[in-house]
Amino acid sequence: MNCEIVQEEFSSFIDNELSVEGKNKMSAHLETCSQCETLFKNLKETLHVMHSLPSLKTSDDFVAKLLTTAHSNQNKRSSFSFLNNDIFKYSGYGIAAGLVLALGFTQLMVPKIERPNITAHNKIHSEVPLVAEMSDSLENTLNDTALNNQLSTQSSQELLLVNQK
Amino acid sequence: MREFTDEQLIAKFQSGDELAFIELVNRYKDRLINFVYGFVKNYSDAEDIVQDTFLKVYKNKHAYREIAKFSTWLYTIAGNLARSQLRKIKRRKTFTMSQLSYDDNEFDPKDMSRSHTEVLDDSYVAQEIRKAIQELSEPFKTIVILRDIQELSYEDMSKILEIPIGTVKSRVNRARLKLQSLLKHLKE
Ligand SMILES: [Zn+2]
Repeated sequence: MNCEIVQEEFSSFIDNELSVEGKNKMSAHLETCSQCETLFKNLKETLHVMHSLPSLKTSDDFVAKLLTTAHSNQNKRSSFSFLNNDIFKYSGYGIAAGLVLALGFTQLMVPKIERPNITAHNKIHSEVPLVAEMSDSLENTLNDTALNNQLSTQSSQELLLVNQK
Repeated sequence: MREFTDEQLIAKFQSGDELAFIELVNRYKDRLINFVYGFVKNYSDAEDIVQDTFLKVYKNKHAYREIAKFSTWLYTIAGNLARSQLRKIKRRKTFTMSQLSYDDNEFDPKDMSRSHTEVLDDSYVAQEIRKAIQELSEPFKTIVILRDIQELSYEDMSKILEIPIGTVKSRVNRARLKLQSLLKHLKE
């Protein structure tokens, strides 16, 4: 077994994914090759520290804050969708009401747009994948060009999403 | 609520049970903040992203179908949000880099290498490891965070990343070796 092949199997060895034969070969190599042995030992130490890194917790009011926002979004959406007169009681909403007419309210039914130039439909699609087509998933992070592909395929994705609605 | 699986809870939430949603939030909020923090490395950004993730679940609960695990769906949403936040941070960085000298930039309050020490009581080695994770390319970073910070199984990673288990295994190994090579100085 050469060193390169041995090192390719380090993680499988550490995670106990090797066959008995594989384990024996690995152990035998580590006993005779000090370079691999050192690397293996260091890797194991690093992983040990990583597995015991102190972990973060969300703040105490996380759930309360979340529910408040969720409910207020919901109320906002329902008042826009019914276009009820209540919203005109709030002076600041006069402009919003004008926007409702100008944009058509489908635009306002969707969440706040953070990225410019990307329609809200696309945003929902790219960040909340429909389970049936999660190809736009974290896997994209494994491929830088996938980000650009994502942008260029968005109009077709939008069609897909509309069809599924 | 505790006896229900994630998938049973989201089904209950889809039919209007908000307590089921709260239980899901409680199950995943801390796991997700650690996951997202691994990318954005800023506590308040990470917490905002986790908030947004659950808000999206709340608003788009019917986008979930039971053919995938709930956790897979949730991690995918959080990962996508973290990615778009990262792009924003990168843009912001490019902007400031062009305006400030390198040294000035080091004192930028947004400098992310400092922020975690305020939040976490890390040992020196742990800090160096966190820094090295940040230096990994995004694909390797994702792999390392999922496997060694989140401690997900190869099988769950395969579902979240939509790649075969064999590919997950080889990427885990390459990512770890890369990380180890960035930590050489600890051993010298
Ligand atoms: Zn060797």
